[in-house]
Amino acid sequence: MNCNEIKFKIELENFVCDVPALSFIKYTKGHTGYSSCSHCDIEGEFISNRICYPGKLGSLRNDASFRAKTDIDHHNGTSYLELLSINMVENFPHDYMHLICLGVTRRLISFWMKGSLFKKYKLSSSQIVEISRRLVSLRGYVPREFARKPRGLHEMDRWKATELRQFLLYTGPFVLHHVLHDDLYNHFMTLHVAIRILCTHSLCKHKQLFEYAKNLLSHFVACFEILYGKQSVSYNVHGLLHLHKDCSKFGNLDEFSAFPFEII
Amino acid sequence: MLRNPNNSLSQIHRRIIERETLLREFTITDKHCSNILIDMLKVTFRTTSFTPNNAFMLDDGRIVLVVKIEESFNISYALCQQFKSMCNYFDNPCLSSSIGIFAVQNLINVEKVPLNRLKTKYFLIPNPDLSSFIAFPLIHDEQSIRCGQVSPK
Repeated sequence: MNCNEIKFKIELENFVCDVPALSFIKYTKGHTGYSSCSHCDIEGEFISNRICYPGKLGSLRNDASFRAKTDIDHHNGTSYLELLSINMVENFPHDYMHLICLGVTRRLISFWMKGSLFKKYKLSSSQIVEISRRLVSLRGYVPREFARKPRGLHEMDRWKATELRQFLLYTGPFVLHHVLHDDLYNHFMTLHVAIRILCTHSLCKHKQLFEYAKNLLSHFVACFEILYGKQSVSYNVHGLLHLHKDCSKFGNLDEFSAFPFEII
Repeated sequence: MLRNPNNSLSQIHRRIIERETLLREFTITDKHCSNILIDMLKVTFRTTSFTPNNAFMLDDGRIVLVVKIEESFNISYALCQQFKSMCNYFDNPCLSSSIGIFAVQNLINVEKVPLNRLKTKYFLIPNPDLSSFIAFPLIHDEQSIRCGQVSPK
């Protein structure tokens, strides 16, 4: 790029966007499609009127297989981005804000609050009130680095991404303790610990902890299927299995999240 | 509560939050504390001598509460109270201390440390009996500052 007769070399590091935007710019199937995973060629199953991705990873996509359209079901056409010398798979990481905060965390909370009465994971109204009471009681203790104070679960539909991040990384382990069923609490804690490791710059560099976070996420997805049913393993839940690969390429999760682009 | 007719709901929300925050801060203040806001030398987080912005981990791994910030001979110091007891908050799926999370209690003596020894800011969540706290290291704001979301001063 030329600016005042000075040449600047610009390199694209990655594209950060949500899944509908990703499928739009890559000209691939959206998250409701059967072959929509951008990192592997797993084929979704149609269960309970939705596409889900139970089971393990498919074989991983790479730049050559993407450009050659080896998995024809994944593509809607040829994207103009293929004219650039970028990796069409690795340079499009999963965004942590949409995938985890607005995706998996919100899904977990909505299961606890709005799940079927006959399900083990559904919380009673008194438990929901207790969690809300604990959240609201923390309002005076929140440091200035947080854009928002905690709100009760009855306002969950209007929670912003930063509130869900606050719940996952800070307040969740405290407010859910001894309220949520032990199995569900331990399951939530695996996500909490894994994301904490992948979000922290120093911990993410630690080889053993990084490997541990990867295993925790695999465990989380496997248990998700057992606890919440096969039909609940959505695109976002499946995306957790690819998160470590994005982290090993670009660093901790905040390096390639959409938080800096959002009005918080 | 309202200062002008525009954005009335936002104004009411801000006044309620201000009241909650100010009430808490004034109860902590003693006559030696001044409302100094000092930007850290190396750390990107900001500190005050008031809760909830005064919990930090020192470079030697101790968790402290800053009770006063003062300056002598052009060096800024923090007067800190140390938590005597630090233990794991959970041990499943891993020891919480390995990712920097602790259950802390029992504040002891005041110590004077240079501000640049404050390493990480902490979010203290009180247990219901208020005798102990769960300490979570802040891990998100540093990144947003680096990405240009919050301008460090």
